[in-house]
Amino acid sequence: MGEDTDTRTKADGGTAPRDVTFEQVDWDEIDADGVARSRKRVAWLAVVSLWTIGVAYDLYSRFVAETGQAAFPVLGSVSPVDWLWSFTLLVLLYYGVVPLYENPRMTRYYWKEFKKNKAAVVSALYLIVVFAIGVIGPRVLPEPEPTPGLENQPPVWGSIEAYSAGTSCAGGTTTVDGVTMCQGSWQHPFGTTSSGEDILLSSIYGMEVSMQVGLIATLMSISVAAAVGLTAAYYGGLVDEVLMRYVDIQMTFPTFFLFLLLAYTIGSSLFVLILIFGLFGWGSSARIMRSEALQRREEPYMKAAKNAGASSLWTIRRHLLPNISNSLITAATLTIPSIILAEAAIAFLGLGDPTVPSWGRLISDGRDQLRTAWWISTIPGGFLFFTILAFNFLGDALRDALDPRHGGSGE
Amino acid sequence: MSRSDEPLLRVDGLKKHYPITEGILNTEVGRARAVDGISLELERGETFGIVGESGCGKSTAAASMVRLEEPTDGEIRFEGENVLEYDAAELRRFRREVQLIFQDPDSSFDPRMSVGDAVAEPLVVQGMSDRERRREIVADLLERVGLSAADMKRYPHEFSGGQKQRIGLARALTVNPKLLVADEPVSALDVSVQAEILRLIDEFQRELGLTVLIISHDLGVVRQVCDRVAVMYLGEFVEVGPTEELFSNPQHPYTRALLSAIPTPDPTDRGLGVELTGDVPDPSDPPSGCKFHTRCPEVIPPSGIDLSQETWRSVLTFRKQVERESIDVESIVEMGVLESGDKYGNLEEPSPDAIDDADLKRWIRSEYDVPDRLDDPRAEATVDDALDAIVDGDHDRAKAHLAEEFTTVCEREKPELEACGTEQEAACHLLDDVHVELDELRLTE
Repeated sequence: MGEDTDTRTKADGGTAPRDVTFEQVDWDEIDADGVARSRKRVAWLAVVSLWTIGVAYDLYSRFVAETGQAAFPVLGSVSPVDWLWSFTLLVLLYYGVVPLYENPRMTRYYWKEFKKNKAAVVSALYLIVVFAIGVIGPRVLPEPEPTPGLENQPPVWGSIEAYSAGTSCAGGTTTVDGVTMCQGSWQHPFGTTSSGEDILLSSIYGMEVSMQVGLIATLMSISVAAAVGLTAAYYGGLVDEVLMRYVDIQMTFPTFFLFLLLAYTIGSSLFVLILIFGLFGWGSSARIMRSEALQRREEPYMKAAKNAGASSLWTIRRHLLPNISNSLITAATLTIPSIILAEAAIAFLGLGDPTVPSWGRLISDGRDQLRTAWWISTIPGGFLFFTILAFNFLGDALRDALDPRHGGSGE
Repeated sequence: MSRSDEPLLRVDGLKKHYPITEGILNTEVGRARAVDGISLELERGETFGIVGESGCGKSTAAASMVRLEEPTDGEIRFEGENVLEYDAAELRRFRREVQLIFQDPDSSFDPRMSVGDAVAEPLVVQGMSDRERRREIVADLLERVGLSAADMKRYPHEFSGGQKQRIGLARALTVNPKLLVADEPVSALDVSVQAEILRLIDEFQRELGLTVLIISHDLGVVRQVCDRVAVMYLGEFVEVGPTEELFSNPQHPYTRALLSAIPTPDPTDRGLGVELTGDVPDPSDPPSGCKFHTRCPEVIPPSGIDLSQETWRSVLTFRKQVERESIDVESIVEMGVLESGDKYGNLEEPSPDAIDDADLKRWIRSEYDVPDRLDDPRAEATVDDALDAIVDGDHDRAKAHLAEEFTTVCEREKPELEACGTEQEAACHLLDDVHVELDELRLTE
């Protein structure tokens, strides 16, 4: 393996005296040099600063200057959810995609392990498609609008009694057994809702909503959970006590009711929903991660890191975090579907923001007409179902693929 | 750098106690005295060994000396500087000078970090940001410990224990330390691999002028590689000396016991014939005086008592059992009835009341290997009195009787390390006649 990387040893025959050995290092010189940051890191810090400045400017013009949403060149105005969404995507890019791109050998290895799980590969493809359509679709497609007269149109392959549909039929009518049937058409491939919204368009907008809710809130929730769980386990004692007792208190208050409370007091919006689930739903994840970190903390390699002179932060990030990634991925794969489902449930109950084109709202739109117009609930319901399923499969496979002990000789 | 007449490392009265806490308020109810006041000096370039049974505090001592554990008390000076006063930056620099090799090669490597990254880790955390340079250093080191540079990308689970210990050595050497502390470096390895690792350490020591501190329970390993050895028992050094002198002329009974436990290939050599009985006492409740007196085969009898060493040891063990009230008369009776055959054969339920007092006393004696009749009349009278008290169920009286007569200097006074021979030191009352004389004085008063 890895022939491409061993050219150096071949070049000098492996026996020629090396120019760099550990005895020659002048540590005083290195101490004097101070901390050097890689170019990648500098670029990342620049991007994050830019984002922070953008948010700060937006906040300033909203609340201090009170001129409303700030208008940015190219981007126009940016909604709070979009701020979070862009940051989430940046984090995924920097901590997910960039390392994979930089270490092609590792990426190939992960891919080899990952593709052993066929269900996960299909799930990943499905999620990539949903994600891509969800991100690009709403930028290029028109928003779904209620269209009077075109209510309850059937999908392209179906038909509905004309008296159940709107006044006009996009696909024309046929008569079967003396009943006038309204036919589906390519104009509305998945049909329309009872208010005449195109279901395909709404589903595409719903993809973005579900991805936003699932990914943003999970990233927040998992980051906080990991920070709290690892800090508690690493430092132990009073720190552990304070943090975990806070978790106990937080967990006595269901996030769902917290959301209801806020929805009634300050009004419900997608932003509030994401914040609530992201910032208050991490209790059980933190507990799971802490309990695994407690075991890892006693491993001799933690002491070895200390022996090397590593700081606590380094040890937590480089040793504790990777070694609890089983718990972390499990927690994330449990959190993403549960938050997507919670959002759908809230929308279904009509407690969410009615202007947000969520899958849950679509499902709820069609629940009275399941007998006549089954597609209104079923199509977004299918998307929801497969998304949840795909995240579960994906998490399982990721957990196995990312563990180097799995592929090797075995224990 | 600093004055070269200073020893590289000087440890003075090092203590590490672990508090034992209870309840939600974490009230301290006791302390496990893992390391209880050890002192040593490491000269540049020497190999120093610490031996002792499992649980005697060797590893804790090593970890405390290099501040992987914060010592409870004592002073550590590295090249004359007080290690315990280092701030974070100085401590990081100190880590460069002192490196540890861990006992278990399997768990001392992060399973999710490639070997190359693991070996390079000390370089990174010490601030070397040049990636290519780190790669070169790691590749060079891996080859020098007998692996190949291509192994950098492999993960720890792909290596054998011996290979991992080589990698452990490479990791310790990356920052070019002056002192290498090896905590049981070979105890998890096969004998054939042990020799290779020890030879490798030895080679690097000669090449780099390293000072090496080896912690081991294996006297063979220590004898093979060390210039000087300290023998540790329950958190204290009981004997320190040059390896050859200590092995050929052990001064402390514990050292003698350890040495006699080394198997020899010579079938006619019966060794020193010393055997240790009993367990290592609990470090949270160590024995008074000399900590070894509860197991010492050469414990000093009080003057005025004239018994053979073996008998005296049995009597003392018996006394300790009485003191802990762990004499189980019931089960002794049961055993006795079984073994006595006819006499109590028709007894339905054996109970102490149904047994002849004389028989019961005899059985208790034989349970603790105390002869039926002691040669010394005074001792015999005391033991007999105590047995009477036990038979009557009056443990306090038994305790008082025994304590009055059989208190040895070993449990009363703590022996200090004192010179015996040119460079050898041992902590044992056998070495000082003064105490025995004092004892006599007191008894004849």
